[in-house]
Amino acid sequence: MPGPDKPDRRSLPPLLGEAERQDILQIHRAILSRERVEPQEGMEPAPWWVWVVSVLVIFSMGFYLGRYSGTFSTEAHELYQKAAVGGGEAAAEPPPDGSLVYAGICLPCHQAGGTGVEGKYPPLAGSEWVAKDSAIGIRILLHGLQGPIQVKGKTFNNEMPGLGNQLSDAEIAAVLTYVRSNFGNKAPAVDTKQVAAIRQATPGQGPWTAQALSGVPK
Amino acid sequence: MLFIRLWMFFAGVLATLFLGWAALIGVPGVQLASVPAQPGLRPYTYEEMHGREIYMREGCVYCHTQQTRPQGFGTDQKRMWGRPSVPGDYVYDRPHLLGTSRTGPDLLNIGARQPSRDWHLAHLYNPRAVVPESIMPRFPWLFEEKTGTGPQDVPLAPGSHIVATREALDLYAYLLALNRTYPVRRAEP
Amino acid sequence: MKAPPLEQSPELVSLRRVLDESAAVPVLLFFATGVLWLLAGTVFGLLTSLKFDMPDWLAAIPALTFGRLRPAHLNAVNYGWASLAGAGCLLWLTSRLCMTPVRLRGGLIASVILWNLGVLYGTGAVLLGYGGSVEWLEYPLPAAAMIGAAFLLFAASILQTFRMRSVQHLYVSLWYTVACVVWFPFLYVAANLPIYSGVVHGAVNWWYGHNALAVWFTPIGLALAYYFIPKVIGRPIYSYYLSLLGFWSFALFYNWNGIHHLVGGPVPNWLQTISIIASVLMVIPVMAVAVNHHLTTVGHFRHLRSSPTLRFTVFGAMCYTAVSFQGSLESLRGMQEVVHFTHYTVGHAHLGVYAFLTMILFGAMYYITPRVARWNWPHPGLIKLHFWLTAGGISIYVIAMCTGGILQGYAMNESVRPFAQVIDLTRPWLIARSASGILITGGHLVFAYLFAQMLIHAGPRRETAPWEEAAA
Repeated sequence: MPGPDKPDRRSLPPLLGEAERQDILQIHRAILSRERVEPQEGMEPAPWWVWVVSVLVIFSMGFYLGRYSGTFSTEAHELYQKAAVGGGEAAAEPPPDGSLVYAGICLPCHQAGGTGVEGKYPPLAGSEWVAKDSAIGIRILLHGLQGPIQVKGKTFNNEMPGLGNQLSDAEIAAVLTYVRSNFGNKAPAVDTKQVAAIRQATPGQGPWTAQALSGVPK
Repeated sequence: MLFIRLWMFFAGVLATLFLGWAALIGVPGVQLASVPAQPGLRPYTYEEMHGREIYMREGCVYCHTQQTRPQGFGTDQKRMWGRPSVPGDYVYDRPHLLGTSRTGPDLLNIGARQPSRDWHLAHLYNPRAVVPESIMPRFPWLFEEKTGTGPQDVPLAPGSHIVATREALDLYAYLLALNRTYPVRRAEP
Repeated sequence: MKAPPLEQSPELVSLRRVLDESAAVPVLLFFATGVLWLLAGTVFGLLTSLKFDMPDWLAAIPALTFGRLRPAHLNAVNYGWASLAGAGCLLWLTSRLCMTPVRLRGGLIASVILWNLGVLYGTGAVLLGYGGSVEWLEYPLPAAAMIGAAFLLFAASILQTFRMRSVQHLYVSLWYTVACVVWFPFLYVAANLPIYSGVVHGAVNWWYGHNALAVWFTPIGLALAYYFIPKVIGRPIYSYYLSLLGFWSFALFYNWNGIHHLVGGPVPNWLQTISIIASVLMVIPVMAVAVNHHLTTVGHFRHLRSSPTLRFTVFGAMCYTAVSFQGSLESLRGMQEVVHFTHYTVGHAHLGVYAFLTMILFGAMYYITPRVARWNWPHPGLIKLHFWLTAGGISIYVIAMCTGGILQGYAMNESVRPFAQVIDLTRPWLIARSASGILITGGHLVFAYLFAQMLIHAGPRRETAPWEEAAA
């Protein structure tokens, strides 16, 4: 049994001499002698405003619950959809922004300035293919392109996925217009109706080749 | 003084934890158990599951989310990351890989947005080769160097000796399977 | 105001000595292995941060890729450092507050071994590519089982010590201690069950991720702050009623918070809403705790100069208030729209687990270690250096990540801005974060050196506290 002058041996490193044990005991006592009282609970009342703030927070969250609980269903986005319908019923859907479609879809390969990647992805900036008739660009976007192609005097051999399933006619027209009027290109804008017409005229079309595109009717 | 009885304290402690569990897991768990897979969603193939394991092994989830937010909450829609995702899009996800960080872009529809195998392999080998500003890690151990490439090998570029391993190809298969662009069918009210 | 007298009656000193001796071996084991994990976790964290600045550095080593280092860091510091050091502190605290020796000490030795093996196994598995990719739950099942079993042994010791108490009144620190050892095993087991899929798994993930803080780390921090602030100052905690309000509102609201990590995501709308509401309701317990601590400390701030324990603890307690109010605000949809998915969340997490919890753990260890190692701290100057390196480092960290995160969030919501530009925008803030990481690493090396000196009784033999000499 550890007594007043006997420290618990098991709590000390083994092989300590009696003098060392006593020394450690003395240090320990000195440490413990400069302690203050063990904490107690004070019985002061809580400041009044703590209760006021608590009640206010609970009430305001009650309103929040009423406002944002939606229906008790698995629906994840109903609040936003309601907001969108309520605000936008009268206004027609705004036309898609070609620069956003470019940034979201085209940019990883063709890069921010339309520069492409040397030896991998052909440039759009100053490309003769962009400047050609819009019927060609629309076909590439709708169905994709594969095989060797000459752009600005260099040959590229890669494949571009068709985007017809992913993008609407308006989006294809918008992004094509964006490419044709940016990066130093100065080709006329593309009409949504033309995209729709070509989509209808080429059902089931697979990826184009450069050769096949050169025979495309204007 | 604290309570009338000590067992009340323990009962309160257990009750608060259980209440939270019931509200956040129990009730939604029952509710979501009845959500069927979206009709356009299919289970992952063997290759895609293997690719998913590579995705988990390399910790892709720490920088890429797989959840798209609705118009009116962030700009996921304008960034062309795909329509807002719904519970039925994740029925086959085990474990979930929703993610909480977008150091890189959302990947829920990367398979639709960027289906090019060539691009993905180049990007995995060295992201900065195709996205100069990228701070994504390189994954050279998903590729191997071969002196002679056979017809079944997939080199990084024509004539390159750097060839994709099965792991890289399966990871690509998984990325390609990340495609929730099918239209959502809502539950009947 | 006159400082209250010291308590020096020989009976009381003897009793305290017996309690300390009962706690010595297990507490020192928990502390020492905790400090080792702190060092390992710090290295992982610093490497993770540097990977943002230099993605091509050490890029060919699979085990050191960002996606493995990051979970290794999170798990090593949480299940290694904070849990082990926190468990050691709670053991000593329970013995003190129950005025009875630590019980089931053999189980504690087994616990510390099993715990460390679990963390070693789990962290190694993550680095070698066997991580589960579910944040906070990356450890493979065997590692989680080892940690769970170790926790049960630890909890058994706490509860047995509590049962054998020789006091009538249960001080508020004990409420938090006893509650968290009851809560955590349920939480850990429920979250680790391999039965979830889809968005339900997402909900389980964040129910757990947030509750690891709610039912384990925060109760540790609060129990220690509730003890050491009045203990060092030597006056009672201000109000028992505030303690009660704080504890029960904390227990009721905190574990509904988790789903605010999925706001805007594919989980039911009502679920997101109730988690946001619970997060805002956290204002109540946080206010109660902050007011209670502040009204206890007010008029005694001079102790901050002389007591490293109080300095670290008050810093941590203030950061608890800050991180909680930040969390309430952050959960709101308007704020989530901007900062969700950004580095802001990382800044918030470090304000919680580091600036609040870890700083309080340092403070508690400065008090407890001399009593269980039975040696006085050498080098008071190094203790000061430790404080300023870590306090300065984490302040820079949190400011850099939160500012950078807000800018990142606004840029990401500007749809015309290409994603690559968003990355460029965050670069300087990430470099500032790495710089803060170097300061924090320095602080940890100083602390580990001091702690090692205590273990081997190095430095000058003193009987008085070093900081009183320094202040004189």
